[in-house]
Order: sequence, then C-alpha cells, then structure tokens
Amino acid sequence: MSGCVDKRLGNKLYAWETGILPEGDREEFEVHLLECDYCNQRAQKFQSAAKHIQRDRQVHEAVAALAEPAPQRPASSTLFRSILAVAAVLVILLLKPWQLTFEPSHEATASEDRLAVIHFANLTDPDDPERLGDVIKSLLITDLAQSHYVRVVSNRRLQEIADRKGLANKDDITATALAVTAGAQRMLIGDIAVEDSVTVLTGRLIDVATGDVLESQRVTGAAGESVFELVDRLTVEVRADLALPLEALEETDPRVADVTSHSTEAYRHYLDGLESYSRMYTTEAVLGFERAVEKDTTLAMAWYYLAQIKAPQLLEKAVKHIDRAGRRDQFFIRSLQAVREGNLTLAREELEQAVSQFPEERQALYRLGSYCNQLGDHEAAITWLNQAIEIDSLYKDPYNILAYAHSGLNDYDNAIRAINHYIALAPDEANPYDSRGEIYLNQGKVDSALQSYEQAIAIRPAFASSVRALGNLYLFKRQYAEAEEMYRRMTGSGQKRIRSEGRVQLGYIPVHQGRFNDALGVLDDGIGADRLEGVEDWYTALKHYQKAVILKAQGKPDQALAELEICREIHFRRFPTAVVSFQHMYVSMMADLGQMDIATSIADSLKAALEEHQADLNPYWYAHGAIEYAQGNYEQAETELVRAIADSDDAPATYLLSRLLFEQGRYSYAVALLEPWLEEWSGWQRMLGIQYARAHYLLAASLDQSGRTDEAIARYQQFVDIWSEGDAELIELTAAVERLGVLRGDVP
Amino acid sequence: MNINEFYNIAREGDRAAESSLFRQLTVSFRLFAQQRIWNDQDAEEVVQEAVLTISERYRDITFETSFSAWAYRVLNHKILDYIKRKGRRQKLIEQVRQETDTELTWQPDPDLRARLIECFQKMNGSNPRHARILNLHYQGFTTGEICSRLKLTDNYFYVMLSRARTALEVCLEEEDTKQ
Repeated sequence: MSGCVDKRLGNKLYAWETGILPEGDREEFEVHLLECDYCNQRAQKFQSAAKHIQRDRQVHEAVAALAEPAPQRPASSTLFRSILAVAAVLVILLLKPWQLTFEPSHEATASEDRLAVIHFANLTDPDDPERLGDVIKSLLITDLAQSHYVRVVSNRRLQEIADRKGLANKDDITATALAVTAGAQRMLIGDIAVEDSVTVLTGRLIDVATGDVLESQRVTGAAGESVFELVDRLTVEVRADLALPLEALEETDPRVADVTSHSTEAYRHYLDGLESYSRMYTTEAVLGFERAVEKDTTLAMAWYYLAQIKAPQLLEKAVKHIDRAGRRDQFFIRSLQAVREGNLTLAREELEQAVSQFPEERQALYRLGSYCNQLGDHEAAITWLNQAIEIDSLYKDPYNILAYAHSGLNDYDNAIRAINHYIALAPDEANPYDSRGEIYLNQGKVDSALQSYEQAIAIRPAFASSVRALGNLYLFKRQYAEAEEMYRRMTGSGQKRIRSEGRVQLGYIPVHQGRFNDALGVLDDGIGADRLEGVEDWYTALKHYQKAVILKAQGKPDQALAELEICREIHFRRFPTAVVSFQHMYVSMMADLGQMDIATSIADSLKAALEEHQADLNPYWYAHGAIEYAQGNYEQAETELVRAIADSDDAPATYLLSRLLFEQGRYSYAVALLEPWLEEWSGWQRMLGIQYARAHYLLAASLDQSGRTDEAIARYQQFVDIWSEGDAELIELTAAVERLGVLRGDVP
Repeated sequence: MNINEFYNIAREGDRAAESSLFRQLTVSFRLFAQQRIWNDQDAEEVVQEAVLTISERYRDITFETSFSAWAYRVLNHKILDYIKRKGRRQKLIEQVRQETDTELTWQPDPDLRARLIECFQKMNGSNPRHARILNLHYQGFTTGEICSRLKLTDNYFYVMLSRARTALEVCLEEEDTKQ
C-alpha cells in the first residue's frame, strides 16, 4: 500500500483520533479517511489505543501527571535554603508589619544574566591528559542549559571565541576576556582534585564586571561516584547560588548522563570531535565522533555531526536517540530531520524556538537565515543573519546568504555591500567572487559579472560554478572560443557529473551558430563519453533532448521522437520522483510532433505533481499552452502562455507566445515581448539554442512588418551574424539574407 | 482500489464491487461514528441506517462533488439526528459523552492501558509537549488555545502530533513483542 494521498491531512490523523481536531476540520478529514486507504488502515489499527487515549480516565490521569512539573530533587541544599528564605521573610513580616515595601524581585531579573562556564583546572594533574576539566565543564554547561531559567553560554560559542582570539590559557585574565566577549555577566571557574580515589569539585561564581567572587561551591565524591553524578550535584549547588526564580525549583532536572552519555571515554572523544569540527578539521572531527559512538552508540549529537560531515543517513541514529540529547541539541536534531524530509518550514520553526531560548547560537541563526532565504522570506533572513553577525562580526558564512537575501529583495546596493564584506573576510576564497558574479547577473550587469567570475577562477581555476557561469556568459556574448575553453574545462573536471554537463554545454555552441550537423556530432560524442564512464544523469537526458530539438528543426520528426523517448526513459529511470525537471519542454515537443495523447497525459501528470507539492503552475501553463497552440486553439493558447509568463521569466513560454503573436499578425505585441527579452541576460537562452536564434529572426520580421525598417535591418543583420556559419539549408537564414538585401536596396 | 473507484464499478451493476464498496463504507463509518457516539450499540445502529440509505439511493443520485463526500454527509446527518433525538443540552458539534458508567458499552483493556501509560512515560523525555497537549485538551482547551499557550504554529502542531503518534505506534509494537 502506498502512502497518504494528502500529507497535509494525513498529519491530522492523531489529532482526530484523540479528539483534538477542531470540529470545523472534521468533515474534510473524515472524507479524506474515506478516500485514503493508507490513513484508513492506520486508523483502524490504532483504534483501540485511540479509544483509551480519548476515554480512559486512568490514562488521562497518567498524562496529567506527566504534564505537570516534577517535584524538585529531595535532600538537596536548595530545599534547606528555601526554608531559610521563607523563615527570613516571616521574621521580617512579624517584626515590621507597618513598614513593608514591595520591591521588584531580584530573582525575576537574575535569569536574564548570562553565565559562562570557563574552565575547570585539574589540580592533581595539571596537564590533564584525560581532559577531565573539559569533560566536567562541558557536562556542567549541558546540565545547566536544561533549565529554562539559566542562560548559559554554549561550549560551542566559547570554543569559537577562544579559537578566534587565541585564548588558550586558563588564567583569570583569559577567563575574563572570554566571558566579556561572550556577553556573560557571571562566570564560573572551578578546580578538580583527586586524592585517594576521592574526587572533589570546587567552583567559584564570579561577577565578570568586578571580579568579585559571589559564591563558591564544593562537592566531594563518594566512593564509586561517577563524574556525571558529581556534575549533577554541582549543578544543584550552582543553580542555588544563581538566585533563580522560585518557579525554577519546580523544573525537572534530568541526570546529565541521560542527556549526554554514560561513558566518560565516549564523551571525551565527542569533545575531541567537537573541537576539530569547530576548526573545520573534518577528518579529525569524523574520527572523534566515530570513536565516541563506538563507546556509546546512543550519543545522539555524535551521530548528528557525523550525519553532517560524513554520511547523511546517520541522522536516523541521532533521531532514534534524541531523548539522549540535551534540550538545546534536540532543536538541532529535529531541525536537520525536517530539512532532510524536505520540510524547510518546520526546520525554520524548530530553529526559531532554539534561538528564542539560546540567542547566542550563531550557527542556528545562520541556518535560520539560510532557510528563510530559501523559503523566499528574505526580510526574515536578513534579520536572523544580521543577528549572527552581531554575535560575531568575523563569521563569514552569513554574509554570503545575506547578499542573496538582499538580492532577493532587489536591494542590490546592500547585496553588493554584504558580498564585498565577505570578500574582505575571505579574500583568498573563490566562492564570494562567484556569489558577487551571480548578484551582478541578477541586475543584468553582464560585464561586471564576467569580471567577478574571472576573479573567482583566478583563485581556483576549476571552481565549477564560476567556470560554468563564464562559459554561459561568453556564449551569450557570442565569444565562442572563450565559451568553448570554459566548457572544455568542465569536461576535464574530477567529478563525473560536471564532465557530463560540460559535454552538453559544448553542444550549445554549434547550435547557437546554426551548425546543426556539427552539434549532433558533438552531442553524440558526449553521449558516447557518458556511456564509457557509466554516467546516466540529467545531462545525459538533456543531450538526447537537444538532439531531438535539432532533428525536429531539420525536418526529421521520427528521429526526433526516438531521441525524445530515450530522453524520457533516462529521466524517469534516474529521477522517478522529479516534479518538473524539463517535462514541460517535453510536452511542448510532443505536441509539436503531433503526439497529443502523450503530451496531454504528461501535462496532466505535471499539473497533479505541481499541485501536490503546492508549487507554481507556470510550467503547466506553458505545457498546456503548447498543446493548445499545436491544436490551433490560439485564443486558449495565448491565455495559458500569458499566465505562464505573468510572474516569471519563463523563456520557452515567451518564445512560443511571440511566435503565436507574429503568426496572428500582432507584430507590435511581438516586438514588445521580444525586445526586452533578447536584450537581457537569461540562463535560458543557452538552453533554448535554436529558438533563441529564431527569436532574433521573429523580432526582425515583426519590426519589418511594423514598418520599423531601420530597426528591422539591424535585427536581421544580428540574426544573420549569429547564424553566419550555419548549415546552408536553414530556411530562416535564407529568408533573412534575402530580406536584408531588399530592405537595403541591394536587391530590387 | 478506493471507495470512489468501487462506486463507479458498482454503479454499473457489478455485484462484487458493490459488496466491497459497502464493506469498506461500513468499516469506515464505524470509525467515524464511534468517535462521536461512545455507546457502541447506538453507534452501530446509526452506521447501519446510513449504509441502508446509501444503498437505496446511490445509483440514482448525481453528485456535485464525489460519492465519498455525499456518503459522508449521509452519515453525518444520521449522527446529528441521533444527537438531537437523545435530547441532550449540548451544542450540536459536541461529542456525545456518556455521563454514567452504566451507559458505557466500551470497557478499557487493562493490559493496553498499562502499555500506553508506559509508552507515554518513555516518550515524555524527548517530547514533553505531547503530554501537555493531551492534558490541555482533556481540560477543555481548543486547538487554537493550545497552540497559543505553547507558542506553536498550526503546521508544527500537527506535524509534532503526527510524529508523536508514530513514536507511540513503534513503542506499542515493541511492548507488544515483549509480551
């Protein structure tokens, strides 16, 4: 049985089963249950359990107990201190009943103070080869962060500051520098001493501004007591000394081993991995995390990092053991899980909750900005990214996304400003120049973009993104030798996919020049090379598609159809779940070749897929417009094509619409559509190849028919120049040359 | 094959399809009716009335939407009629809750109850909001109020519940295996 037919409704199953679903949503959901076998079977299987959740009072009581805050830990000094506090208040009330004044509670503001746990020095073995000090410090941070009332600077953040500022020493001056940079008002410094197998932890809570020791703590380990248990006890002491609100006493305080690891060795390896990860030493980081999970397979955050830097599928293990991660870390795991499930909205929501509680997590802020940008919420992206930069102005990653976010709002000044900042921070990296090239292209500044891309490949000659962009820009400018050099560089890449892409790009050059026979040869060579390398990907399918386009232009429909079929087979074999890819182009070609049934069937499937994914229907409007056009329903075709280009620069639709307008004698409209389209840069132009060149001819002919002779001459000449080396039998080329002669008076 | 597909074939006179259609319909209707009518015998009566009405009329009716939507509305009207007939002073949209144990025909299964509670306890470590949401619901808060209290969006609320359900299913199956 396949999955739910409508996931949006499928997600409401549990809400319905438990009676939580609002009454107004009931009908829609129950009709869905009637129609969706998958959800219906799940509901039937779960019905008994659902009835208990809905009706059983004992289950209700058990749930209520879980939902209530847990009582505080018994027999702790916290209880004793609270009793003393209450007693003190009572004494005051009894002694001075008429002179009471109520002042704002200090406890209410204490939780806004941030605490930095700086270091724990191993007094017994100052070299601390087992990193006991780091282990205790990290465990203490994790344990304190479980509270909603303690704002503790993360270990990650402290490491970033220490690395950036070179603060490796464990002296008071360094400690203060770290705490100040982290924005902490209080810091904790401690010592570890081990004598006769008894471990003693001591801590000092210090006011950062004055250096005064506010409180001190001491915990002496019992025989057999683990480091984790000692940290649990120290946490209780520290929390008591932080003067937290009374509500904090009612919080559940899990054992730190339950939200990290029960193995000291595993946890030490994990810390090693974290340190290497923060310095971008990927190999060492993988080693550290792998050693950690060898010792403790339930160390969720070790799996989380391995999923990011080694194998994405390892995220499953992090999710499986998520209850063994701290409160902060659970947000990160759930967010990444949502990203892997393709639910960026949910990923965003998780991180929004994370940063609301842990506002100094710069990586969370950066990712949040990135997800918002991908979701098209550029303004939110800018807000989050700026916050990340405020925390650390030398954090370069946000500047890249910030530039794109500003570009998304057409605020190019700020986009360029942001990317230039990135370049200043990383002048030896190709990526910022590449990004700047893209932003210039978004503004239509082709020459500025070229310059920026050239700078990128000067730093890294094989930087694929820039090489590709340069090839396409040179093709647009008709600098074919330079374009060929870039595409050949791609065919020499170390990556198969880029080599395959380079081979199809090489085919665009002769297509653009009207050298169709040469283009077929280049594409056949590319297909052969793909086969030799065992490559079958999107670019392989694209080679067959381009061949089909050329063969159709050469008046060979059967051969064109055969190539299209190969293209389609490859595409669906490799990408069975692809929503659009170039299926709309395929529909157009099929319609043009008279294969209406197939074209309509694919167009309908495309529409259904787009609707299911709640995506724009522009590709469908184009596909359907192409079908209507091929069937001679011009009015309907025009309606669909206009919809396709209404809020996107859909180049295939633009070309087809301009052709329709020309054929209907609506020349001024054709000119109005084609002129801006042909002047501006568009990545589509290289892919359209033949149609792009023909669009020049259409524009020339439209201007000609409109009586704009001088402009028509210029455009005809441009078209003839583009196809000057074209195959002799090209009809439009012959017509353009003849017409030029007439318009210039060369031919009577 | 889904219910609308069975309907299309049954309408042409296919007896086997008709039988499958009404079997599926009855099973689904029981799910819906028992959600709102906690007396299983009364729920079954309402289901049978609805199925009978549908079997008498389905061949002759032209639907504006679909067979499934029409059939659902037939059942919904029967449930609302039942609620009115019971003469209780409740809003039509409220569930019909049995107020005395003597009216209950459903009896809890102690074993399933124990396993459920154990699973809730296990889940609470990684998803404490699940228990809070259920508890707020038991106290009468609406979905909107719950989302507002817990600062959750609609989207996240349902996804979170969906994940909790999956975790609960897995936990119950593991407990089942251990039995």
